[in-house]
Amino acid sequence: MTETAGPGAAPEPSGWVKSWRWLASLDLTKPPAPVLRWLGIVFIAIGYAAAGAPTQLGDWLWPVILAGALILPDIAGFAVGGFRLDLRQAQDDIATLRQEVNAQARASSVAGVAIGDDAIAAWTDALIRAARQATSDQASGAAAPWPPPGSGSRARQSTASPDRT
Amino acid sequence: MTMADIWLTTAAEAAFSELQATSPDQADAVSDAINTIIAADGRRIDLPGAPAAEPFLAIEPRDPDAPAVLYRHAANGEPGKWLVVSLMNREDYRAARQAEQALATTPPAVRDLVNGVVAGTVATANLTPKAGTVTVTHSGAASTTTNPDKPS
Repeated sequence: MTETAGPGAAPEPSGWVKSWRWLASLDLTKPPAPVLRWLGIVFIAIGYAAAGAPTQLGDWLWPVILAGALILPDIAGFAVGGFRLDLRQAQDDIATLRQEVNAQARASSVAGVAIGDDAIAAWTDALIRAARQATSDQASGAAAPWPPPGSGSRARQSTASPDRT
Repeated sequence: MTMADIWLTTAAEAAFSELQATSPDQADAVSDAINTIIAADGRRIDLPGAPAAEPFLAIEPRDPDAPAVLYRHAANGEPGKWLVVSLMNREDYRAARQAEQALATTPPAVRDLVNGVVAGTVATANLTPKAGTVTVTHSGAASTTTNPDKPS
């Protein structure tokens, strides 16, 4: 049984697109790519030697470009004048940075879990309960001076020291 | 300063009367705590509903089971200098205190969220200049009238 694409499905990519995607997915730093690349360079050198060394400077251009493209994945960096691009170092830095970002993201996530919805809900509930009682009692209005008449409470300044916590 | 400087809300008075009937020892402890109001300020507790210039203060009586005394400076139009607002169940008071302390260590976003929920949930008091009159509205923002000349 074959499945047919629905009306909203993306169109099938063309052969060129497929080829480009396959090429882009290749990792030229992993075997056997390095061996093949260096073999290519050797073949270019042999071919040029067999044909005779070029005498014109322009004749060196294409083999140099080709050899450069083949050797590019193995180049650790460039240094031109005062400008230096350290590709390996940049890759390592990016990898380190990615690890740090991920570690921070995990830490933030753990902190969120540590606080937890339950704890926040409990705090909110406790404060709402206290605030409701306070506002409700406050709304009943000032009714009587202290001590209430007939209460028998001691209307004096106490020497007791209640906890002010 | 006289004891008449301290007033009780109707709710606080009723709670105190009930406490005298049911637990005289706790009532004595609460009485002592209220008597100390004029000597020194209690500990501030940030609950919504209090007039902006007169935040709630609290004293815990020496009896650990006695209710906490919630009070504040009297606002404009209220009699006396101090108003005992409420006698709060000790467990509720402790829970609110713990929540307040825990929130202080949380990120501002969490704190703002909880405070916003609490402020939006409870009624806000709207004190009118007429003595002894306190109306309650359920709008989001408190519209309070306080006395700026009153010492804090």
